[in-house]
Order: sequence, then C-alpha cells, then structure tokens
Amino acid sequence: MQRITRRQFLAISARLAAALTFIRWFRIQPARVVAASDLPHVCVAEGSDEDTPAQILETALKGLGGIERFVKPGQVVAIKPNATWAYPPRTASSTDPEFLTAVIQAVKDAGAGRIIVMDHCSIEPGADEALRISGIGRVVKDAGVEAIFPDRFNAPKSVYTKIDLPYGRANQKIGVIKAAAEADVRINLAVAKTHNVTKFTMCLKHMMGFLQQPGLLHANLEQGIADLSTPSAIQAQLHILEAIRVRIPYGNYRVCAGPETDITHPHVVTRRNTIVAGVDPVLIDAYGCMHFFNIQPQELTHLLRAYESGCGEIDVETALTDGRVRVFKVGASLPAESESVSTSEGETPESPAPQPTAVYAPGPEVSIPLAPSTGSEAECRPAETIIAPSPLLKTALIPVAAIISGLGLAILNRMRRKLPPAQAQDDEKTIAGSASQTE
Amino acid sequence: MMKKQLPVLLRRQNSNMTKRQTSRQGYFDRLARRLVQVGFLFLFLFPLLPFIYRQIASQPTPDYASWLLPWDPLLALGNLLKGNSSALILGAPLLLLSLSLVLGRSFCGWVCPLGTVMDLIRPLAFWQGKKLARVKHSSGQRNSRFRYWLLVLVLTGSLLSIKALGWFDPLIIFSRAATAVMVNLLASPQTLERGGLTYFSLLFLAILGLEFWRPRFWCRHICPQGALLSLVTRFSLLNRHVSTACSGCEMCKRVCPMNAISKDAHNTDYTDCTFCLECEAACPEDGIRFGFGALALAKWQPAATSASASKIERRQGNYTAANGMPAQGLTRRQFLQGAVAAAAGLALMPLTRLEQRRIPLRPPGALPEAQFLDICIACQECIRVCPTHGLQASFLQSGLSGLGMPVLVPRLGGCSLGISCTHLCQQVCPVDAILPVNPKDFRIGTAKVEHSLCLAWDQGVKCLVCVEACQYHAAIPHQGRVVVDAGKCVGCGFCESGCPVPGSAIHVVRDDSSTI
Repeated sequence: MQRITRRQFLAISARLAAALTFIRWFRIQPARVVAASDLPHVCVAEGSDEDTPAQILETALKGLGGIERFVKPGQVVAIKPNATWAYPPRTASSTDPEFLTAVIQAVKDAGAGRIIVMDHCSIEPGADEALRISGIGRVVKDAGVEAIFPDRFNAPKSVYTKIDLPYGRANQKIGVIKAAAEADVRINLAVAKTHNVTKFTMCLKHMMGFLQQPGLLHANLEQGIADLSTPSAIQAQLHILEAIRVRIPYGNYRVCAGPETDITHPHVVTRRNTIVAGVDPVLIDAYGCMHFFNIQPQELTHLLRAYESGCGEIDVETALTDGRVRVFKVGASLPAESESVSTSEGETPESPAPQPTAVYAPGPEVSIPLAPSTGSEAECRPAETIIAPSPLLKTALIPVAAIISGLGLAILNRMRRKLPPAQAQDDEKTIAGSASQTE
Repeated sequence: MMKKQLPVLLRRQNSNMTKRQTSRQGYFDRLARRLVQVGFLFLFLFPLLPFIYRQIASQPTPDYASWLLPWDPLLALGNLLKGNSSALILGAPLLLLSLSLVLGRSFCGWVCPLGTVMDLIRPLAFWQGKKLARVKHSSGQRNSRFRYWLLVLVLTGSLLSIKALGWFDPLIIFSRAATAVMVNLLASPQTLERGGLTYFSLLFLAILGLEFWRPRFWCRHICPQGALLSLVTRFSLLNRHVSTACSGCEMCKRVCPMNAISKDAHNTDYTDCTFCLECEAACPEDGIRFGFGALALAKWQPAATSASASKIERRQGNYTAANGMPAQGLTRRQFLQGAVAAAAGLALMPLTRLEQRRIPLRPPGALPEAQFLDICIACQECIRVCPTHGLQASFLQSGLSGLGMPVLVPRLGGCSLGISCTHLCQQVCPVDAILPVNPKDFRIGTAKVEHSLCLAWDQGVKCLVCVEACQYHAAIPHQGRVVVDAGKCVGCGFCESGCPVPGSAIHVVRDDSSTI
C-alpha cells in the first residue's frame, strides 16, 4: 500500500482548504436584484370584489413576466407569509389564506423543487394558535409544503444561521432562518397594514420575520430594516405586497386588529383588491404609501433609509411614466395577450397615480363592505390542530421491549438451571457415601 | 485417603464442566439484567425525549411528566408525613413496596436508574483492572447502618420540611441530574446565560466517583431509599439457596457487589441482596440457586462445627428456622437518637434562610415563599418542562435553603400565563409546591423600566419592543416613551426577555401581591 508523505498530506490539505474557502465564497455571493431592463420592476394588479386573490395575483405576475422569471424548475423556494398574529384574515393582520394558496400553487406550477413556508409567530398565544386562527396552518398542510414556524424559545440552534450583510450600515452580521438563507429564491409576501413603531408595515419591514432575534434590530430600527434588503444571502428575489384588505388606523395595532375590531368599519379595514408584485421593495412600499395610506414615501424613515442604502427607487411618479411600475386591471387586458411585455408602452399607467393628500379620504371602492366569500375564517375557525399528537410515545415501546426480553431471558435461564442441581445432588450422595465409607 | 479424594477429583472434573456451562449462563444472566436495567433507564429518561426531539426535528411536541417519581415510596412517605397524600392515590409506591416483599431489593439491582448508571460506568475504571469487579470490603464487615440513620433523619425531617429528602432520594437525584445534563447540553440559543443547573448534579457526580472506589458504595451505605426498602425486604420471599456442594471458596462473597453474603457463604442478608445473580454464575460448584420460599427467616445450621470434622463434613447442614426476627436495621434506641438528632438539626434550618436578601420570582401557582421553601424538594421537574426555559434552578439567589429550587428568570424566557403554555409545571410537581391555579388569577410581579438604560427613555429611539411583547396592554407607549400600567401588568416577563438592551432595561420585580 502506498503511503502518502508529509509533503503530499500538506499539499492535499491546502487544496482542500482552498476548495472549501471557494465553496463558502460562492455560497455567500449575494443574490443581486434582477434588473432586466425590458421587464417592469413593479407590477400592480387592481381587481374588484368579484376577483379572487388568485386572479389578481395571476395578473400581477403576468405583468411582471411570469413567476418563471424568478422560479426555475428544481429550485428551493422560501415563501414568507405574514403569520405572526392569531387574528382571522378579515382583520388584515396576516397573509390571506387564499392568496397564500395561490402563491404556493404558482410556485409549484413553475416546477420548484422544494417549497418552504416560514415565519415567526408571536409569543402569545404561540405558533399553533396563530396558524390555526389565521388559517395559514391549514393552507400549508393542504398544500403539502414544508413549513418552518420556529418557537422562539425552543427552536434548536440548527434552525438559524448567521449571515453577512456586506452592505449593512446598522448590522454587518445577523442571525436568520437557515432554510431562508440557503434557499435559491425567497418570496416575501407582505401585508399592507399599520404598525405602531414604523407607522406602516410593507415589504421592507416584513423582511424582519426572517430574523432570529428581531428585537435586537430595534436599537436602530429604520436602518436595520433597510439593511435587510441590501444584497445579501437573505435578500428576497420577489416581493409581493398584498393589499386585498388594508388596515388603516395608526396607533396600537393590537387594538386595531384584535377581536374587538369592528372589521366591517371602512376606516379600520378596507378592501382594495390590489396586489403589488415586484423586485424593488422600496418602489413597492413607496407605491403603497401613496395609494393605500396617502402619505409621501419620504415620510417613512425606514423607507428613506432603504432608498439611501441603495435598495431601490423611491420616486413612484417617474417609475410610473418610464414603465418600471405598471398598473393593470384584472381581466381588462392581460399583458400575456399582448405577447411582448417589453414593447407594451401603451399599457402603462392606465390609472394615473392619485395625488397624495395629507388628509385621509376614502375612495369610492373603500367603503365596500367585506364580501363573505373571500373571508375564509369560517374554514379555520374549528379547533383543528395542525400538529400531530406526539409521535414519540411509540418510542417508549423500545425500552419496554428490552425489559420484557430481559426478564424473559432471565426466567429462561432459571429454567435451564434446573438441570445441574440433580447432578449436584448425586454428587452430594456420592460424597456422603464416600465420607461414610472412609469412616 | 485415595478413596476420599477420588470423588473430589471426579467432582472437580465435573465442576470444570459445569463452570464452562455456567459461565455461558452467567453471560446470559448478565445480558438479561442489563437489558432490563437499560430498558428501565431509557423508560425513565423518556420524558426527556421531547426535548431532544424538538432540537432535532424542530417540531412542537408535548412534554411528559416524570414516570419515575410517582413510584417513589420514600417520596410518598415524606409527602404523607407532611400531610400530602396525593402521591398515594395512584398507589404505585405501595405496589413497589409490596413487590419488594416478594422480590426483595430487586428494584435496586434491576430497575433503579441510579444503580443502572453505576453498573454501566463501573467497567470504565480501567486503572482498577479487574479488581473492581471484586468487592474489596474486608471480610466479615457488614454494611454500615448509616443509611438507616439517614432514613430516620429524612423522614423525621419531612415533618418540618421534606427538602432533605429531595437531596438524598436516589430517584430524585437521578431525575435532577438527567434534567441538568439535558437542559445544559441542548440549551436553545436564546438562553446562553444558563449553566447554573450543573451545580445541582454535584451529588450525582460524587456518587459516580464513589463507584470507582467501591462498587455500589452509595447503595450499601448511604441510600435512604434502599434503607426503606430494606425494612420490607428482610422478609423477602425470593431467596438465595446454597446447596451442600459449597466448598467454602468464598467466590460468591467476592463477586457480590452488595456485600450481602455472610462469611459462611450460606446465609444471605436480604436487606442488601439485589438479586443480581453474579454469585450464581461465579460459583465454581454451581451450588447456588435462586427461588421462592421462607428462607429469609431461616439460618444455615452446619451439621458439624467441630474443628476435627473433615472438610466435607463441614459442608453438611441445612436451613432451619431462626429464632425471632431477622437482623434489624436500627434498634429502638438508635432510632430515637436519630430522630432527636434530626429534629435538632432541622430546628437550625431557618438559619439557612438568613442570607436570602430578596424573594425571587417563583413559577405561577407557587405556594407562599415560606411554605414553598419547606415543601419544594428541588427535583427540578418544573424546570425541565418549562417551554420558555424561563424557570431556572437557583444557586444562592434565594438563600442556601432555596438551593436548586425553581426561580423565574424572565431574561431567559417569560412565563406564559396565556394559552400558549400548558402550565405543565403545576402538574408535574410531585409535592404540590406549585398548585394548579388558574394562571389568570396569578401575578408574578410588576415590570419596572430603568429609564437610564431604556433606548426609548434615554436615547429617544423608537424601540418599543416591550410594547410589542406585552400581551396585557400594560406596557404603553406614551409620547415615544414606555410606561407600565401596574394595574394591568402581571409580571409575565416577556418584555424583559425581548429587550434589546444588554441585561435588559425592563425588569420584573416581585411585589407584595405576588401570590395566588
């Protein structure tokens, strides 16, 4: 047998080390924003109450160039809905279950290899309850996709990993869900709603759900949020802002979203039947600011920080005119019918952007009450647990089997032992006999 | 002479044959015993499995209460003396005691998880070579009666406080050590500050260390649980019979890890014998049998005792009923002395609370502090099942008498008083130191903001993590700052666990109303 010399060993080690370094380097390579000039950056699909979330989503994705632009067959796709709160879909607190189903179906149709749905749920009342009430647990279960909803206190270390934020200003390293960092494509499904710290939660803020300890970001929240959308291992390739329902009032959001909320009140939750999809989270959020909340994008500090960090464009007006943001009406004229998205200049802004006003003024479609068909809270209301009863109890049968077999073996041995004593008795007799003989 | 020696020679040949046979059977016996022991060990470790499973599969799983402590007769007796008969409702400790009447101390040799750990680690003492397999106790010396003294002390003490019982009960020692190892090794990333739990398995480590010095030292000399069983097992129906084939080689005596065999090798001390079957396999004459009968009350009577009798004659004899009772643990005088000493020692116990500066946060449903200190046995079951790992074993922060008892450290994890927690801590407590109260009626304390540290107060940062974490609308944003509504705050501590300031800028402080 040939033995390697020390020199050879060192050489092989060095090469292995170099190779491993390169592998590591490749893995950390940030995924850049897809910036194909001929396709829009952001696509807005506006529907009516009759349109299902799936139809609105289809329009938005088609305008963007189809889901195939982002998801290639065989890829690992991480989908991050908003599953934080244990409130039903009508309160616009969490991602709409029907909408999530549509997204998962679209990604499936694109031929994704693995689909992982992930989010962090609030501490109280815990992940199970949040998933049950928001209806997301049911969706994930029915779709048969992988799910990661880590318990903040019991999640194993292996769920998380530390990634670099090479362009981060507030944080350069941050702990995130490992599966998200390792996925090929991340899809960020944000809900347009109010928030008590950042005023509004949209795509940028929603990225915080990937974090291991979101609380640590709060020391410098606005810049921290902006950092998450800089090129890094956690950067999302596709952002979809769900504005099917929009939660309006600013303040303590728990009061706004809790069961005490009068959900039919148009000033609390309004129906907009809009989905904004795109690759530029700043542009999406800026559009959302102007169209859903009627404020200037610059008023949101974290949006401004993200713009300054180079995460995207903030000027919606310009983007609307040069075709980077396009607005489609559901069912009106799908971009797929016009065949060439790149030359469809005529389709761009169908509805001119309304001038943002300082005072909130509900539009005509805002006051339409909720259609009962889309509210899927009826399905998720029954207390159906999505977590199987402990699969561990059967494991206890192994030691029980060991005990029974051990006892059996011991008893068997006792029975086999019965043989020699007769021999011994004979022995004793002979001994006794011989002893008496000697006497 | 020739005629006398011939059968002996023959028998030696015979014995060589049987020895080969028995060595194989001895192997199977040992295998059987190991199977049973390891089986029970894993059965008792099973309640820790959800913890490991969660770490590996990251799937939520329900926790289990201990399967071991409900069987503990010593603990049940201590509870009974303290006036708590709930442990006897299941009747498991009584069942164990009545089983001991039939099977002797088989529990110690075949079931006790601490004994199993001892038996498993004993072969690791490689520097001892094969010496350790042989007991080194000097011949004729019996096991000390210290364990009976300890039993008296522990049980007398239970009248005042069953804490001492918690320290010396082997089953509690085992479950505490298992919890310490599991929780420390598999700590979640949120709770890096833990580590105090290891201190409380020091006794466990000491017991393991003793094992490398003398086999089953703990079981023979110290174990109060064994002493309690011994009171019953001296009438054991299962017994060890030595036939007249015995040549007096004392091999059985040397292999007995419990030092249960008398000098003449025929008599067995059933307060010690764990029926490990080692002597049966070791006997070169194959003269030892285990069976059922009233042999525990009998004594071996040699037929010939005179020195002039021949060797073979001296082997003859039979078991005859002994006069009176078999050897007792302690005399009445000794028992009373022990009881008085224990009472005197316990009278000094309040001194151990002197250094307790402030009362720590206790789990929801905990008894008032004075009662809690008396009743909690520091078995750490509640610490094991706490889903947020906010419950930790206290080291000295609640005084010497509170060593190892559960304290809530909100920085590591809050106490979920809502529906996300099953409040298993209240259900697993074997001594009812934590009562199953409705957590909604319970207050742990009140959160207090340290303005000099708080990002919102000190730096004007829009942090408000505590507001987000608060489930009771008690932390309220007020002009960009945080204020706590003491009327709403229950002290769950989620604000403290989430605070981004190192060491937290909001703390839960126990107040006077922190009771049920």
